[in-house]
Amino acid sequence: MDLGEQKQNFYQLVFPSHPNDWEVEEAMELLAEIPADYRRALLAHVPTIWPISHSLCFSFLGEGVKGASHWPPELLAEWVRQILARYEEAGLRAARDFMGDIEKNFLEPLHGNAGVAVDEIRGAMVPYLRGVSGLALDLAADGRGRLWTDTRTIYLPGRQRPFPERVDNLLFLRFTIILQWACIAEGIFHLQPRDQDFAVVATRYGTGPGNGRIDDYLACFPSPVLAGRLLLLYQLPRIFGLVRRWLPGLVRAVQQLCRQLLEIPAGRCGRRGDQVRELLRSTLLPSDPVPQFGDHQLSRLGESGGLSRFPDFYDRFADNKAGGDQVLILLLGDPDFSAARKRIEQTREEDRELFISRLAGWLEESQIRGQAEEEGTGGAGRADSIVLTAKAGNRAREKEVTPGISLSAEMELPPELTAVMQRIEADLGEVPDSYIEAAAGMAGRGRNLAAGAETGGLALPPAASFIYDEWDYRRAGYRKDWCVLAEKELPPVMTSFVPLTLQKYRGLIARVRRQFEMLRTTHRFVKRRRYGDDIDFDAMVDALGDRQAGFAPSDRLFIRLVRDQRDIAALFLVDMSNSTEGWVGRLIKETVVLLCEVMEVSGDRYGIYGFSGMRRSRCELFHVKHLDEAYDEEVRRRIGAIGPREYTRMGPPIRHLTRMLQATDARLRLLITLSDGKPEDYDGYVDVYAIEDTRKALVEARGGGIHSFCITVDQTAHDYLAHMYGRGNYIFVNNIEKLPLRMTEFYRLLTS
Amino acid sequence: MDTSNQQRIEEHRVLVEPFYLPQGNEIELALAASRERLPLLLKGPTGCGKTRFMRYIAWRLNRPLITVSCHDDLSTSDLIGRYLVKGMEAVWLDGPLTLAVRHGAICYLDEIVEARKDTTVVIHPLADDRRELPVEKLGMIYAAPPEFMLAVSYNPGYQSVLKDLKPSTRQRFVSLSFSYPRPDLEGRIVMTEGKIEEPLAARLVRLAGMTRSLKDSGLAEGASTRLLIQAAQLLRQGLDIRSACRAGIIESLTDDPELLEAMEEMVQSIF
Ligand SMILES: Nc1ncnc2c1ncn2[C@@H]1O[C@H](COP(=O)(O)OP(=O)(O)OP(=O)(O)O)[C@@H](O)[C@H]1O
Ligand SMILES: [Mg+2]
Repeated sequence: MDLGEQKQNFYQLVFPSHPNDWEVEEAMELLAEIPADYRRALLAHVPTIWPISHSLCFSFLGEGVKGASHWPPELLAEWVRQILARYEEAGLRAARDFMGDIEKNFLEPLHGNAGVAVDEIRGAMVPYLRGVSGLALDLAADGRGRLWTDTRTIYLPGRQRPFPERVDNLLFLRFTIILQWACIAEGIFHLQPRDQDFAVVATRYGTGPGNGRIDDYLACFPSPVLAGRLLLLYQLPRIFGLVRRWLPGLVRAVQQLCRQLLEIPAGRCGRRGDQVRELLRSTLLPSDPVPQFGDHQLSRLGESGGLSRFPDFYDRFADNKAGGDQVLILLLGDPDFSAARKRIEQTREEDRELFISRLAGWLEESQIRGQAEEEGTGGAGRADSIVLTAKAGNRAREKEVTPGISLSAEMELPPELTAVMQRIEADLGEVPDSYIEAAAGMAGRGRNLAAGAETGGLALPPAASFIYDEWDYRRAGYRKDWCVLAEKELPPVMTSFVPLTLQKYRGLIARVRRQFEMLRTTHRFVKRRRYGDDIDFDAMVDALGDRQAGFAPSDRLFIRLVRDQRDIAALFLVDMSNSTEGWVGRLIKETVVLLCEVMEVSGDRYGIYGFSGMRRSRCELFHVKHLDEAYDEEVRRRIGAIGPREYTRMGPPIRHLTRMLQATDARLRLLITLSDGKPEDYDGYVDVYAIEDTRKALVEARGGGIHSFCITVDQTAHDYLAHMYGRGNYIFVNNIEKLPLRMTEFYRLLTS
Repeated sequence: MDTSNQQRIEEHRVLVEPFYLPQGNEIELALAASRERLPLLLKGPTGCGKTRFMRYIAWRLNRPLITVSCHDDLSTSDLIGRYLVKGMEAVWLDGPLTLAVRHGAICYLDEIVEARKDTTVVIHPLADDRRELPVEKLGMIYAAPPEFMLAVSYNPGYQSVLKDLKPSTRQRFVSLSFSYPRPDLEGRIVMTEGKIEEPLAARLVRLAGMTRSLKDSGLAEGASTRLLIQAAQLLRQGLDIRSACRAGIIESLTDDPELLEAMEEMVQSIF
């Protein structure tokens, strides 16, 4: 192809704009020097980049030409994606800088080196950890490069490479994560020193009396940091014992690596280093020959469960000033007992609240049910007997973990309640009676107050406003006319957000579109029609039989291919609170773009609204797309204007959209909320109150024939989700990159 | 005609005691329901022993068990019966439901939500205290004998809102809710059914437990007992543990590459 033709070609790609002739010529000259197939691959990206920035597009061609000798054309798409992301994030200059060094900025991170970064492994490691532990644990990179856990999140050092091979580093990381879990599971962070334990350290190091807290106990030692590390080492037989029993395959696989780590000749890391390694070796590699520099006392000390001999253990190591803790830190990390204790206490308090509100809610419900069943005999006596049932169930669980079967007529505790109960039992041994009493009290109070509702006394709102009640769980009643919701318009903005998103998810969109097309064209054979495409053989035989038997045979003898009318109306409610600032908000927004793309294909009616606001007097609902509005440029601009604003009071917008949906006549009406976690507002709309009101709003929607579902983007799956949304009515996405895919998949599953 | 029906029904008798390990008091409940002539609704995740349980109950009660797997093409004639032409004669052929009613058998409608709603209504008069089956074409109303029992199953895990049981159907039943058996029981089941050694079975059960905690990570449903037995069978055929678990369990659960990787690693770590 000669230069003229080439230029013509380019002008066509960027039609209708008229770029500078000399700029085009320069680019085409460069392009002429590279192989034709690579040139075509480069040019294929022009229509995407051109509308976003013309300069970026020329830079892209200039730098892309250099790539010809670097990489196969398949990598181009990923490169373009990263360039555009960089451009969107930090502008033209940053994007040019990024393109400038392909090797360093693109290829190296792409192929990775031997090290392992937390972000690379989270995707598969978090499910692994949660599966293995059965706990909702999370992984995160630690800012200071330490390995530790607060019993809810395990923090990992950034990029780390104790071994030359990546596979080994990954395996070792997995092992250290599992050891952290084992510390949690073996209750190391739950240890409560007794008074005599404190007495021992008090006489030895001259410190004050104790209070049962493990972090205060460790603080009594001359070096609390060392004491923390050594406590893990002291408990290693228990910790490692669990791993060996539970995951023998992992232990077998990691043995060789442990051997390598511990194989440094004696004396190199000081005496303490030698002692530590010997102890590690005798625990982790029990079958290896006993090293000659042994101090056999030590390994026996470590085996005891309680803390009574820990000071002796500590002193043996502390004698030696020299360092040599590297291996220990590499394996067991740098524990933070005080952070862990605080987290445990916080969780305990949260669980207490959750348990009480859930049990109270459940008691309420069963009382109402009970009343319906046996008129007149309801009341206080009944509440007592239910509490007894709950307690009896509690006892039974101590013997059997899962009561598999239960008759529906009997009281069956809801799974959300059982889940908290199990956690409390794991933490405290059993559910304290005070919890149950508090719940029973709350349920009783709710009953008496349910009749009289509080009234908000709000002034009359302006025109496009709506007033809604709010549920107050404490009184088990509505606060009448409590919230004002205003419908507002988003100012449309000009932005490259939509085209960029479309570019970024090209592959995904193509795939999902196809699936949604299939939704649309659900062709189905209907049997026994009066006319149709084919003879229904079954019907024919029936008719013959009927006639022979003296019945008037049916004339519905045909099979017809029909296209199903889906007749679905879906409203999407998008969280625009300020907590969505950053990645979450961006992904939520991208998801909205993808949704529009695929919803257009599905042919279902859909609308999109954002919500935020502050205080009950100013809940705001932002119009992005009405139910039957066309998906046009205006809508796209309003999507561009979606962004973080204020708080998340979820009740009012849910009630409002419910009302909107009820006004439509679709056969299936869906309300889908997209949010980033807990509902929250400025004026006390927090925690249990907010959760209960949101739950109530969703229950109202369901009662009104609306199917409501929620998609939550968050780091960890909190278990209030199941309670708030109802089991099976929500999905939770923590790997945020997967939101668009999960969301579209979810919609497809819901409606097919 | 009746002799041929008699023959047909006898084929459904469960002659050998099926292996069934109770999870709780479900056997007593089912037997009590049968004495009181109440219909049963079995709910629970796939592969947790619902079908096996019905076979066992049928054996205990010494009644034939007629199972119908429901699907959305199932018509009322498929359940009740139809006329067929034999030679020059029209011959009535009982459907499985009619057959069960007339001979005092157990009729088990598996995955009832898969059937269309207009089909499921035919069981309504059978499922309440009327216990009768109107057969329009014969102009008959069959009263069910005391031995007749209706049982249906469904899996509440499916998410599609278009498929849920109508309250008017649901509220006619005594519900038995099944979950996966306790680890020790499940181990014995896998051991017995898959014919493998106890330690291996225990590890398969542990793997299943781990996959079942992945609900919030995006796995629709964890590994069922059935999948464990399947993996055990592959193992017995000499496959190595990784391939057996991958083909027998993991790949059947998801296509998500990260979840697959996580579960592969679980296998590596356990065995
Ligand atoms: N309690 C049990 N006792 C003996 N075997 C069991 C038990 N539970 C499950 N099994 C085994 O698990 C297999 C699967 O169970 P079954 O076919 O009854 O599942 P299901 O609940 O009917 O599943 P689906 O809903 O998919 O039909 C059975 O073949 C049996 O081998
Ligand atoms: Mg079955």
